[in-house]
Order: sequence, then structure tokens, then C-alpha cells
Amino acid sequence: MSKRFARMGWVVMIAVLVVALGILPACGGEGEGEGGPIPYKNDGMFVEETIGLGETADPAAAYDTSAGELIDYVYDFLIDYNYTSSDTFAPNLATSWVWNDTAFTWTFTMRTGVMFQEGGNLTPEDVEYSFERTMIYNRGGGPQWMLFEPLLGCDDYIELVPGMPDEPTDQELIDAFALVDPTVEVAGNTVVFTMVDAAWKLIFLQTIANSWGAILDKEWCVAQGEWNGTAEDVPNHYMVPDGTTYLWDHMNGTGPWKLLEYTPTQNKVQNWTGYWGDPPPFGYIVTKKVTEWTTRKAALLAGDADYVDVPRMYIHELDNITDLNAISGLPQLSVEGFFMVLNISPTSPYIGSGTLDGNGIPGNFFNDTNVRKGFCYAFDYAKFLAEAMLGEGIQPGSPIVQGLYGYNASSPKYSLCLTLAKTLLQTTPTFGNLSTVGFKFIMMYNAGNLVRKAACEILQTNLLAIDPKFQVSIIPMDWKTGILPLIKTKLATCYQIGWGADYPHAANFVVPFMRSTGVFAKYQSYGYPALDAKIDAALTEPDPATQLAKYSEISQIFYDDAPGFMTVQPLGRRYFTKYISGFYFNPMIPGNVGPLYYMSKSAS
Amino acid sequence: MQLRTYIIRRVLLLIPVLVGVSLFIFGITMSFSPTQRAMLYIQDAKQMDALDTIIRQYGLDRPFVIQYGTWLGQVLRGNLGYSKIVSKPVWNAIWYFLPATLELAIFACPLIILLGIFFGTKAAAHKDKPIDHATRVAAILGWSLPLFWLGLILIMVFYGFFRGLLPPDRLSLQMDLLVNSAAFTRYTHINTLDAILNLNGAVLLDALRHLVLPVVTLSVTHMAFIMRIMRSSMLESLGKGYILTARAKGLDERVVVGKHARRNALIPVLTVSGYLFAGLAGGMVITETIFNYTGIGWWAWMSAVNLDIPSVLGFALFSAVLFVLVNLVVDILYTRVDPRVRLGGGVQ
Repeated sequence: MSKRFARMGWVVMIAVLVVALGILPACGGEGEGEGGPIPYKNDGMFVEETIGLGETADPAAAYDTSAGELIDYVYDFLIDYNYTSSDTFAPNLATSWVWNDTAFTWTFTMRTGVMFQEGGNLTPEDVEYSFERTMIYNRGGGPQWMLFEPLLGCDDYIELVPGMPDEPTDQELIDAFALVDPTVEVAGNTVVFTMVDAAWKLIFLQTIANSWGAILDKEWCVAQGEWNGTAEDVPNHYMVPDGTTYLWDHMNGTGPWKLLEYTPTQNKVQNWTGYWGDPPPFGYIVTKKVTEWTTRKAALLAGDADYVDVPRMYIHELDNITDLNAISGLPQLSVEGFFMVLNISPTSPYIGSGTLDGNGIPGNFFNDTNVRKGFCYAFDYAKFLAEAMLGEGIQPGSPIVQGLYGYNASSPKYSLCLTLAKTLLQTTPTFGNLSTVGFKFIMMYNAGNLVRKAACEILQTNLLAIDPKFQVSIIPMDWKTGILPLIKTKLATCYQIGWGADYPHAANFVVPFMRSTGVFAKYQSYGYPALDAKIDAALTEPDPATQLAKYSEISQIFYDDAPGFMTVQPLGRRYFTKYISGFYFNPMIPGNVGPLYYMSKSAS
Repeated sequence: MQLRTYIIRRVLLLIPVLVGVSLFIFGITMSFSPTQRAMLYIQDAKQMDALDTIIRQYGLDRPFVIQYGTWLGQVLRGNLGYSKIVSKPVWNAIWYFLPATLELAIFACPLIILLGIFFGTKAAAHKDKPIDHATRVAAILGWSLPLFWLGLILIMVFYGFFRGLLPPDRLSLQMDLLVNSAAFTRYTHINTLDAILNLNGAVLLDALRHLVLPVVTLSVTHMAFIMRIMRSSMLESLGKGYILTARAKGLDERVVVGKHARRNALIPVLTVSGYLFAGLAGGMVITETIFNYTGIGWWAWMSAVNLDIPSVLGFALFSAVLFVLVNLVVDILYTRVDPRVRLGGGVQ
């Protein structure tokens, strides 16, 4: 009897496995097996499930695109990007704007009769307050540099006065405000911004049509304990710690939606009935942080989410699901590339012996142009785009990617040529024939990023194919705590890094990668005075045709110098349920979704 | 020793435990460079230039003793620091996320312990009979399933395949809007309890529906452990002389098993239940993350992967307090289960 029932245990186990094997393939398989059509749910609401929420709701502190998305719902800017354009603009809180070519000023005429969600009236003083507050806040890693550059010709509050210490006294902060104050002034129903020169004419407009250009209600902010608008109060609000401003997690804008709930796990906004424009199409927008892909996917299929973030490695899981509206091939204003450190620290543990003896590389290994160009020719761009990017990317020739002002489609690009790579690596001016003893070093990529891992492997394999003595090891590292500190301390050797647009202008991409003071170039030890001069000249060139020619020349220099090579300008995707319509693509719209104010949801 | 004295002594023991835990974690985090720790404050590589300012602003380059002393001083003043990952003070974050975890524990713990004891008893009482074999198979299955795998499979099947039948999160969107409206009073932020207090059946049902998958995921894996311990402990008890005596006296088998054998077999189960609770905290981290059940475990996971040191420290201290208190409760329960046990004086 007992033996019979002992066998029953196995029968139960096998039965469970059979049932599981029957159901599981259906869960993860193709469209037909996904459990039927996606139901229509949450009428009048838009639900987004994303991998991360914005860091803050304060426009003076927010510098990530998710925060920008929430700010875009609740606040208004002076102007918006005009539909899909990146260099023409539509009125928002400003009804018109005029450039003065001699005084270098933009004068914005303000819309009247606009109310804030908490009851105040929009005035030009609110605009002045909003921009000045961002500058005096001066958050470490914040967006204020984009205002300082055009208005004051520096990047930071402490750069306003030469010699101001890193930790200025209260009086120094107060005195410096005298320079900030005149840059934004009210004149009747207009607000006048004064630039340092004509170079910023377009860039300033591109800059302020984003979250750092959000307009606050001065009176309400002051009542909540924020900066009171005077010089004397600057020290109390200068570089305050994160989370200590009232606006960090409270909002009061003039936008179509009003903040309903701001939590670490989700944000909710509700349509605001007092909005000055047409009523928004969604009664609620809910943005939820859901880090697990399987959970997000299930929510999309269950109709509980209208949009979810889909990592590229999983896009095949959504193939053939007819109830989804998949939009692909959207050229993002971002770029990725390999960069070689021209002056690696001799203490780096990633350069082996530290000399060219077959077991390492010297710190100046990549200072040799032939070495860098050899690496450029050793990378298989087509294979990378096809296999790692799954065909969803464009190979750029320089940091100036498609969609940016200053882009030139005919800029030169590298392509795979192992013969040329071999020739270059065997005739280096500094080290002679590298095949004599070979080289060995370690290259790093961010752990979990399979695309970057694949790029490393392509380069590694091809170098080995050129000469078995060309040995590169690959190690995964945490992005923030591993690779970035190595880059900053020049311990890294060769790494991949990306950049996304703050504003859609070549200057925003050329400076970080190519100017000697740029955030990436300086840690790579790349850049030199003649190139800096060309970059500055391109920025300040008043004639558009000449300016474009200058940016083309800079792209050519990037190709000739080869401080690195650009691997991809990614093409983005959006996955909505079939009930969502009205999407159009402008890469400068903050956030992951799109122009929700112009989109809609309907069961039909 | 009086019970009160015993409790006071154990609670006082918390102080060196907490200092030890915080020193240990602080020591580990100090192995990261100031630059690495400052990375928490930036979102993107383009903010790298701000790192020096951030290090200076938050004093990340000060010596270990000063940083620890500053932190300890703040803790003694009731300030556990600021949780960057959720943009809240750590203390507020704990209170914010605690109700969700508590709710999960309220449903999962009794299920794990009571069902574990029940099936363990049944299996032992019916040794080598069908129920014993069935529970053994279930235990092997449950114990060998990785928690994250089981959670993902359950989501795929009961949420994705069956189109929202048993959803993740804590509430559906409509109910979430309702509980956050003026029409609903949030007494405890434990949704099921608040629903009962508000006499709102729809919210109650919705909250229960969202609890099913995480509770099942936690229970399946942890119940197996209790079940097997209970079974072997029961088998040992059932072989004892006093059980033979009880049976010889003609006592009903249910009384023999339920009163005489089970009560004595509970001591090992009580012991492991304390450790199980610690294990459950780990399980919560995974379960809450998979099911987007935003409780303390979810917060701990987010903090750990982002090197949010104040949050990690806050979570560790919270776990340490919880662990010590649970073990204290277990010790007190010993005296109720086994009259021979005297607190502080060993076995009579």
C-alpha cells in the first residue's frame, strides 16, 4: 500500500511538470499564445510603467528626462518645440519673442490671464524669479550651467567672480548675485534675457523649452519658504542639500495637469480644469516605477499599462502581438562610442606591466594616432549594428549626430578594414611595429549592458585576428561605482560612453567630447588649443552657412584625430497598446513616452 | 529571573548589536572611494564634473571616524539620514514602506507557520502514507524552487497569460485613486485593515487579490522548511515513552498527537521560526521587487543596488531590531510551550 502511494508522489510531481510545460511556453511565446487580446482598461487615464522615476519635481534641480516628463505635465515653459522640429518653436506662456542683434537680448511677451494651479496669476516677475532661482540654487550636477553659459559666460555660480573660493562666504554669494540679476529683467509685460553674445541666439531658445525653463509662481514659492528673490536671501538657498526645498516634491504650475501624488514608487497627475489651453486628453496620467521587465510586460498585456519601457534585448518578446502599437526607427539625440585614454595613469591596474613588453601597455599607448586609428579600423560597425543593436541604430562619423543642428550626413566614417588596421598598428610612430612583442590590457564595460559587452567582444576578436599578440581582456564593472570613477581618475584604458542631448545643437555634443575642458575629453586627455579655438569659433559664428561648414570641419577633425570612434546613434522604439493614438516623435520632448497632450486613448 | 528584567536585559543588548551592525556596514561602505560614494548623487556621466563639489558638500572625503561619528550623532538625535533613492529621510522612508511589508507578513507568516505545523504534524502522524508522500513532494518542490523564478513564473501565468487575474502592485489603479481620495480614511496604510475600518468591501477584495501571488511565492518556499522540521520533530516525539503511556491509557489518538506530541515537537519549530523570520526579510526583498509590492524589501533592494548608504544602514538597523525582538518573542514563547523552560535560568 505504502509503496503504491510512494509512487503517487512521483505521479503528482510529473503531473505538475506536465501542466507547467503546457502553460509556460504559451506565456513566453508568440502572439497567439499570449492569452488573447489586450483588454481596454482605465478609460480616460494613461498609465506608464517605467524603470525609474524622476529624481525630483523641482525644475531648478531636475536634470534627468523622467523628472522632465513630470515637470512637462505640470509646468509650462515660455516656448515649446514646434511639432517635430528641433530649431523652430511654438508659443506657450510667451506669445511672441524678438531677438535684438546688437544688445544680444531675447524679449518675450507674456500671455495674460494665465492662472497657477494654486491660485496665483502669472506675471513677468514669475519668469524672472524662476530663472534666477535655478541659477542661485546652483545644485551640484544640476541643470543651471545651461543658463549660466548663455547669460553669464560661465558654468557655475562660483565662476561668476574670478577667485571666488569653492566654499564662498555669504557676502561673496550676495555680491555675485549682482551679476545674475540683470541677465533676466522685466519690462512691462515682457521679460528680457541678455546673452553674453550672439552665439546663443538659437541655443537659448532650445534650452528654455525644457524642464529647467519651467515657470514658477514667485509669491507661492516665497510663501512656502523658498528663496524670496533678494540678494540677501541667496546664501540660504545656495546649494542646499537634496530634498530640502519645498519644491523638491511639491508642484504648482500653469500646465494642463496638476500633481495629485508624488511618491517614490509612482507619480499621479490629474487634469486641471483651470488650464488656459484646450482641456488635456487624459484625466489622469500615472507613471509607475516597475523595475522588473516581466512585470511590466505582463501589465502591458493585461491592459493595465498603456506604455512600458522595453529594453532592447527583449523586443523580440513583443513581436507578433497585434494588439500593440509598436513604433520603431526613431532617431534619438544620443550617441555611443569607444574612447581611448591618451594619458592613462601609470598606477592603473588595467595596463598590465605598464610597458610594451607583451604583457601590458604604457600609459601613453593611445597617444599614438596610428594606434587609435588601428583600433577604429578594427571594429566591425555593420556587425555591431546588426547583431548587438538588432538593426536599430545608425553609425555616426562624429559626435554630431543626425537631428542636431550642425549635422552633416556626408561626414567621414570608419569602416572595418583589418588590413589597414594591421598596417597602422605595425607602423606606429611612437612604438614602431606593435607585432614585435604585442600588447595586453584590460577594457571594461558596464555589467549587464549586453550591447556594450558585444562591442567589446567584436573589438577584442578582431584585434586578435590581426595578431594573436594583440590581447585585450574584457571585464564587467558597475557603471557608477566602477567605470565612472576610473574614467575620472584616468585609470581606465578604453571604454564606451554615451551622451544624450540637453539641447539639439552640435555644440552640446562637440564640447563634452572634443573641447579640452569638456567633461569627457578632459578625462581622456584629448583636446588642444587649436581645436578649442575652432569649437569656440563654430559656436560664435553668426552666419548659419559658415557655422554649418565649421561644424563639418570639426567632424572631419574628429575623424582625423580619432580620439575614439562612434559606434551608434540608437533608434528608439515606443510600445503602446492599440488604444493609444496621436504619437509623433520629437526627441526633445522630455521623458520616455511622447507628446501626451496631443495623444488620446479610445476603445475604438 | 523575572520576565520584565529578562526583557529589559534583552532590549539593552540591542545597543551593542546596533552599534556593531552599523560599524560593520559603515566599514564596508568605506572601502568605496569618496568618488564612488558620490556617484549616488549623479544620474548621468555628464554630471561627472560635479563629483568634487558633491564630495565636499556631503563630507564624503572625511576620515572614517568623523563620518561615522557624524552619522551616529545624527542617529542619536533621531535622524537616520536621507534616503537619496526615494528622496525622503530614512526614518520617513521606513514608516512609508513598513505598512506594505507588514501587510505581506501578516498574511504570509501565519500561513507559513500554521500550515507548516499542520502538514508537518499530518505527515508525521501518517508516516509513509499518502499524505506523508504528498507533503514530501510538495516540500521538495517548494524548497528547491528559487524565489525569484517562482515569482516570475506566477506573474507570467496569472497576470500576463490570464490577463490581469492576479495582479502585482498593492492595489488596482481605481482603488488606489479611491483610497487616496477624501472618501477613504487611511488609518494604518495597511490596505486590508483600512478597507475593513472603512467598511469598503471593494478595496478589501482588491487588496486581497493583489496579495495572493506574493503571499503564495513567500509561503511555498518557506513553508516547506517548517513542514519538514515539524515532521521530524513530531516523529521524535511520537517515539517517546510518554506517548506510549498516553496511548496505553487509551487516550484518543487526536489528543495524543495534538496535545502531547505536537506541543513538545513545537520547540524546534519555534527556534527555526525566528530564523525563518530573518530569512523572510530576505525573501521580501525579492518578492516585493518582482511583484512591485513597494515595501521595505523593495526599498532595501533599490538602495543596495544604488549604493544609497544611509538607506542601507537604516534597513540594516531596522532588520537588526526586528531580529532581536522576534527572537525575544520566541524566547518568551518557549516558556509557554515548555513549562520546564525558565528565562535566564535554563531548563528546570
